[in-house]
Amino acid sequence: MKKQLVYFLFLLLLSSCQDVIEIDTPSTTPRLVVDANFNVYTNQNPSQVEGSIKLSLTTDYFDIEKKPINDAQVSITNETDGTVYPFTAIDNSGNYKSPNDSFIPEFGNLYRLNILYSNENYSAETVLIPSVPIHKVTEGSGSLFGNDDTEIIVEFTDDPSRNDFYLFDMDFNEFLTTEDEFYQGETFVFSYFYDNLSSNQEVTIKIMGLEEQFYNYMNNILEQSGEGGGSPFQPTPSTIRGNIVNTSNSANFALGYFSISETYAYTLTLN
Amino acid sequence: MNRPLVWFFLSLLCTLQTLIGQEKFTLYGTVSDAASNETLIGVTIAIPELQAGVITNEYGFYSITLPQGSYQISISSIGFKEIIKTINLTKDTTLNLQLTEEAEQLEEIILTEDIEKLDIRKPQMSVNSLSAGSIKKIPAILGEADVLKSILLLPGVTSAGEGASGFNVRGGSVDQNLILLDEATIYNSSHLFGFFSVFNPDAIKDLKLYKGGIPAKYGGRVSSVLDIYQKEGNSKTFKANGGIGIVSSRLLLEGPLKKDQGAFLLAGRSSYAHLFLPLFDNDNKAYFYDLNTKLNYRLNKNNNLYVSGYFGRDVFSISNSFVNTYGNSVINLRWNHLFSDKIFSNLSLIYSDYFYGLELDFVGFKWNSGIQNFNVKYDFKHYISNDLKLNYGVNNTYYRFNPGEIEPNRSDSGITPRELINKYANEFAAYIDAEHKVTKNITLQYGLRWSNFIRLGQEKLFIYENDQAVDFNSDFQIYESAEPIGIERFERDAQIASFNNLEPRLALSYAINDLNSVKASYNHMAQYLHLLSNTSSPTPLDVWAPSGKFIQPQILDQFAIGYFKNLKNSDYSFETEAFYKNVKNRIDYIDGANLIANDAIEQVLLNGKMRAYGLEFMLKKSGGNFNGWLSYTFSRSEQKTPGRTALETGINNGKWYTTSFDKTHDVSLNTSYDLNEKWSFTSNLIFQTGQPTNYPIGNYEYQDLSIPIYGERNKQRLPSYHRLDIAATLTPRKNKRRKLQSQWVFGIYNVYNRKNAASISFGRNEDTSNNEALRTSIFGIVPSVTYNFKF
Repeated sequence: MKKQLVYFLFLLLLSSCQDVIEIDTPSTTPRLVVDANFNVYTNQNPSQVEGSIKLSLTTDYFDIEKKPINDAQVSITNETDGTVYPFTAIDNSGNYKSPNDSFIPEFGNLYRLNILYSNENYSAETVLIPSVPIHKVTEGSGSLFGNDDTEIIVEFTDDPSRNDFYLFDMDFNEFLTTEDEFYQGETFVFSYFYDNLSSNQEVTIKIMGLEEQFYNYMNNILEQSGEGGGSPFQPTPSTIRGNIVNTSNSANFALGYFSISETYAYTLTLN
Repeated sequence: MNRPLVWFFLSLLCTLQTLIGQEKFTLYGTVSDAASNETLIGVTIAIPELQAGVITNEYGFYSITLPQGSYQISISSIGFKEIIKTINLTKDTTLNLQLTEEAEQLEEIILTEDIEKLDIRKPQMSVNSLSAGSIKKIPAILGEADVLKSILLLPGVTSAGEGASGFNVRGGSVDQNLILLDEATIYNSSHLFGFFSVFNPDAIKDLKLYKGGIPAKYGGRVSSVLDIYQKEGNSKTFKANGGIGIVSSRLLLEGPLKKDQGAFLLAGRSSYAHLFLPLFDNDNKAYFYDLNTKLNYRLNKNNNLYVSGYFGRDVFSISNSFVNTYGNSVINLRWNHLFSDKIFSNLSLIYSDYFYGLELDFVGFKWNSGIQNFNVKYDFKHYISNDLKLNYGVNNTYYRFNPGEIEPNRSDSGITPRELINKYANEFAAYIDAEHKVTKNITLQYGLRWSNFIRLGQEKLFIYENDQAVDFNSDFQIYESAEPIGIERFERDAQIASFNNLEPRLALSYAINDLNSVKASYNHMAQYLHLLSNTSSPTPLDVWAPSGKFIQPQILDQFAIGYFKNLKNSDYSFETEAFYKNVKNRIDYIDGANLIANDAIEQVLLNGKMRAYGLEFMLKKSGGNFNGWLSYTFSRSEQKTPGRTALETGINNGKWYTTSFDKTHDVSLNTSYDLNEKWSFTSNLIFQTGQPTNYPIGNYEYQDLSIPIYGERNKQRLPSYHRLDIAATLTPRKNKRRKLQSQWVFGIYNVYNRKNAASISFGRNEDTSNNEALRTSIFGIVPSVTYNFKF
């Protein structure tokens, strides 16, 4: 976040000098993309699970048409007790779900994702990563960069017994990563500023627990997905590797991530 | 250093002894400006009859030893009236000289001196110098005369773009430049991220940029030395000058402390408080200021004291929830002492500090980081004979690094106060350097520097298995931070690591005749400090890290050869140089490395190397109404970080990749024309190959985010960069009759409004949800007017 702030400032100085241009980008052979994130609401009884496995192929950068994959064989195995949860394609958009939503991850189990696509096996392992509840979300009156800002104030208490990595889903496709290094075990309050929200709008904030590798992955993803573009204060970008391994042919690696996060949500209606 | 080289040095020194024998006397003294007593650097004292001569040093001092006799000597410096004096040398003689300016106008602002005239016989190569007058004449963005932007016009000097901070010399990175202001190290040379430099041109007397052939006197940075001297102040009368521009205003006051004996100088500069106000609709501030001070006092014929200070800050504040302050401060006490008519010495005591502070109210914390150092150096210049001058001295620097302190900024903040582990180090160096005229046509400059760097004890240091702080995860083919397996604790006086380097320097010039010479140089240098920065241009919050158990010192070898020619009464000169350099232990970063607030920085660093080569051409015309220079550089700058074992990928698959400031072709044409007493005109024309950039080779969606895929590093380039700047200076004629003298500078930056891309970024359009490429261009056409005054 600290470095983003610098180029945010920098951009502010230059906001008027950007224009869209036509560019030819190079092509490369398509790869499998695995988007397999599960949010587990453990405060519900039984736990509620949100998420699916979404498979696609990479495209050229400016291609508008997406390339979903609907013909893969997908399952998740609970390596701890041997249960296999098959996942099937539910539509033509590359989404796979377990029938009757029977896949309910629990703490202490190791889960393995198995994908057979184009005669190659892909796999990934993860566990359910704990999170903490959001105490409250309130609307503030402050503004940071303009009078159209909406300030919301989020409050939560970190777990003192472990090193935590969190991902906040701030709604509207905005995300925020944070680790507890500087607020270990404390109640932490922070403000977030939205641009152009209307009154009476509902905002749902989610907090998810992440393993460190996924935290790094999300940081890279958020940085490269276009936030903070256009300043000299960006690291050189590279292909971001997740935790999916092609066990048949390691050179033909897949992109994306398999993760399971304990999640808490808080919904606020703006004044 | 190997043994033959040592013998070479020794035998050279021995041959000298035989040359000294007949009855000789020394002529020595200081050369200063008649109007202000300001000492003058680089003045030539020539004895044409003997084909001998000497140039004044940084403190205006010279010494030359001649056989007994009567001589005509000529004292000359561009912009000043030449003096011809006849002296009868029968004993050692002090001769202090005063020069009068040629044009009696606003001397600081009128071009007094262009780039240093080429010295055909001196072995020193790869050096450019500029006077404050030249810098102020160069058209600048928003009319702000700027030291760093001026040196970008010289061959071999580039930057990572218009808004990027610092400068790059011969393919080296920004942190490889040693920037000295009155001998004190400056850690961050930029205001406002990089739009302006921290040096107030009013307070500056002279600067020299060493790109290669760096004398043994300098060390600690491997790419270049930018040696800047502040003015001393007028010890004759009280004077003031200043200016009002679009971005900032300046005021300089100077005057005698005691007439002809001591002077003070005080120069302040401040930008306006709401510099970019139109872009905000809130209570925001963005401004910078700096203050230069200097006192000098001549105790007696042989002793001078100087106190110099610099303090500069940048301040950004947004709605009081974001406050960012940073800058350098320097204080420096110097004592010049003449041990004899042949031994000039300078002792400096320097404190230098860089501070970065940040307060983020919306997350409830305050943050600060920085570097402090205490530096003592004692330098001697020994004029042994006309054919041999020795420079020798010692230099010790003690460093304290504060990688960061965090504390809550209000009582309800959840932030726990924490101080990252401070680091300490000591750097010692001793050097000797000889300027040696071997024959009439061959001159050598050779020297040796011994540097010793000790990483001193710190509170704690992590221990890793096999001393490897970075692991390679072969399943996912990514580098990851290793888990420490323990902690080692140290007393402050303990040594965690110690490094010794012998750094030989060698330069040779062979004068083919009076107008043509060839020169060659080699330098080997070590750099113990590293600026942790994984962005294309450093940011103000980047922290410095010392070498130690996990970071090795950067080691440079540079070779350069050149051909130098003076044409037509020396008004025109031409120089061309080729260089090759190689830097070992250039650190690189694992993907997604977090460099800020990281207590175990070793966990994100990999060891790589760097190389650069190029060809530089420069054609200059100095003197006359029409002057300027044309420079062209062809170069390449690359970096490589291979895997540590065959199984690892390294960075960029272990292949060489171009650095983010690599520019294949770089051309600049700077011209200046004095039409009459009233009007003068200057222009810059610049063409550069676009900087390396990265275009995505593919795309995918993940959690509804559009993610680009990138291939090999820095494979694409931004479109070529070019622009034309012009400026006109109006000095009203009525100036002559009055005390207050004024001057107007009208400028246009980027005359034909070229939209030069500072970057091309990729992202998803919020409205259409389709991907797009966004070009950011920083400055279009920018007109400016600056008013300067003097009384």
